[in-house]
Amino acid sequence: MGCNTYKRSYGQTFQDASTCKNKTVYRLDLSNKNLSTVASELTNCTFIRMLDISGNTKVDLDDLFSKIPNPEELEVLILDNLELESIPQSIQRFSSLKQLSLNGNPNANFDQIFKVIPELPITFLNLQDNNLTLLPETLKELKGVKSINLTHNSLSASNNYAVLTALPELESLWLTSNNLQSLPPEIGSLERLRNLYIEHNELTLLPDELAQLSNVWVVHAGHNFFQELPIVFTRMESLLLLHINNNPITHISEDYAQEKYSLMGIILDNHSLSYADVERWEKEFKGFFQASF
Amino acid sequence: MKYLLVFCGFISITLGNAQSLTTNGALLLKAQIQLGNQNQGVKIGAYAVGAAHYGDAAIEGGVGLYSGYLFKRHTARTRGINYGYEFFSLLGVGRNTNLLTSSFFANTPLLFSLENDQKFYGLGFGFEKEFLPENLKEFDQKVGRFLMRFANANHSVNVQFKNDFRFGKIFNGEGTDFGNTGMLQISYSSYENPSKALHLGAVLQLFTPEADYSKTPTNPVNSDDASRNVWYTQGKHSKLFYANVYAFGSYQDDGLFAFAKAGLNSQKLGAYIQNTLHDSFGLNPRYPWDVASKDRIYIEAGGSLLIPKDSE
Repeated sequence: MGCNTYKRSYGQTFQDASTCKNKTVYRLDLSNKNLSTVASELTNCTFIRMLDISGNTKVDLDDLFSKIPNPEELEVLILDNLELESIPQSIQRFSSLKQLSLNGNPNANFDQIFKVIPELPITFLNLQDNNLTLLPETLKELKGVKSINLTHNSLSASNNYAVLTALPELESLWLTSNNLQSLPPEIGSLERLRNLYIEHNELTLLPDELAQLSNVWVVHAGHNFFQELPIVFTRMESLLLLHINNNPITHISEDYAQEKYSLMGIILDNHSLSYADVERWEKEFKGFFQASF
Repeated sequence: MKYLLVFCGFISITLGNAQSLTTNGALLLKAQIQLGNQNQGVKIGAYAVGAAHYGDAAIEGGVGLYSGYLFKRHTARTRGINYGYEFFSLLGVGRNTNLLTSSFFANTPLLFSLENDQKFYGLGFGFEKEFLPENLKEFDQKVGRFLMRFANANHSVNVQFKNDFRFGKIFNGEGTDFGNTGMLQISYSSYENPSKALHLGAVLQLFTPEADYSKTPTNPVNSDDASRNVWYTQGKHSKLFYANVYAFGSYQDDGLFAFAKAGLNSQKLGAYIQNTLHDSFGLNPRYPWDVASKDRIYIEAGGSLLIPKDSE
């Protein structure tokens, strides 16, 4: 781990661009400062890797992007709650951009946005709180995306999975708080997935096709309406850890006692199991590295 | 800074030879005063080690019992009685009865007896548990131990891994993933004559509070700008994190024992190590290490008076 990497990942975050005059600033948080013009001090920020300008709805993004010195150094750009409709072409200056956050921009034309950024090496895309019901086809062009957070949208339509399947590197998918009452069989096509987040929905059952997710290590399925611990988890061949807390689970299938499966950790807090069942399953899961009731 | 004063006596007993079965054992009693920036208290304890070999098949192990009164533990202020136990056992090859397996006890003088042409290559498991005063009860955890020891003549290299992880019936951690959640120690020990011994090593240890499993893990701290899920933590000590990385050395000669430790308590390092494990091996979410905080010096020193009671 080189020294520069260490500072980028964990260095102090500064809230004032004028700090760049005196210090080496890697992380600059200018969020919610009601900026209307770009501070001239920004030209001194020659080292910034992370820039957060969330909430500054009056700021001219094109002007801002063009004034950032050494744009090829920027790796994280946070543009949350900006009432965005589009993104200027000048974002392409950030040729090393790895993380882009666009939370809380429900009026944004994501089709246009995704057309502007396909050449950037983005691996994490944050799209929370955008009232999305259908993912634009242009998302398919972001071939390097490994993680996508779609929390607080309404992505229940099955054809969204065709778009997600076209992301060949996708490893982490957040579908938290999407009012999902079911998952479509198409979810089984996300074969490279490692982490699946489906908590805070209205799920009662899961499709058998979930077993096709042979690379998934962790599933977060807490805060749903499961009354029975779904047995599909016993058929996910790489699953290690299951978070299924805050569900009204009253029954655990005997499959969890009789079948062989890869699961080795389970978080079941705030269940509806009887005292006797808890005693029984605590013993049954005794070999797990973690079993929380 | 920790000042340690230990009064102890040890008894070395050769239990006997039956054909080619050779055994050896020893007992250490100690009283200890401990002052420092992470741990403060008084402690009494009894520690026993034993070793035996039948031809080239060897077994060794140790057991410790202790109690005390704590003023500070795991960097947190406390008042009250603690007590605990530890056990370990190793199997291996070699004609070994020199008792240097005692180097698996922490902050404790080495027990050993002069034996020539000793050899031991072995591994084993163990466990330990400390019961803490009321305000630290949430950290009463059993910790599993995996041990390796490679000894030749009067030299020994030890590797010790501790974790609250639970794996089947051989690695007996509590399965909690918090508190004393991980420790790795590599050390070297040797002796020159019946009273002179040296112990050097390096340690990495991580300590975290308990995750709140009932909350959705969207803590922004240590989240790499929201690209990773991070637990919220709970309990009276929800911000009690430390990651110590340090070197230690101890020396004993003619009834005197002294040790020193020096290193860093670094939240950044703790985050880096645990993030790597949690991101890479499917244990996510992460824990909210305060990655913006500055590193602190970790240093301890101590000494002991030894009262040998050799009954061989």
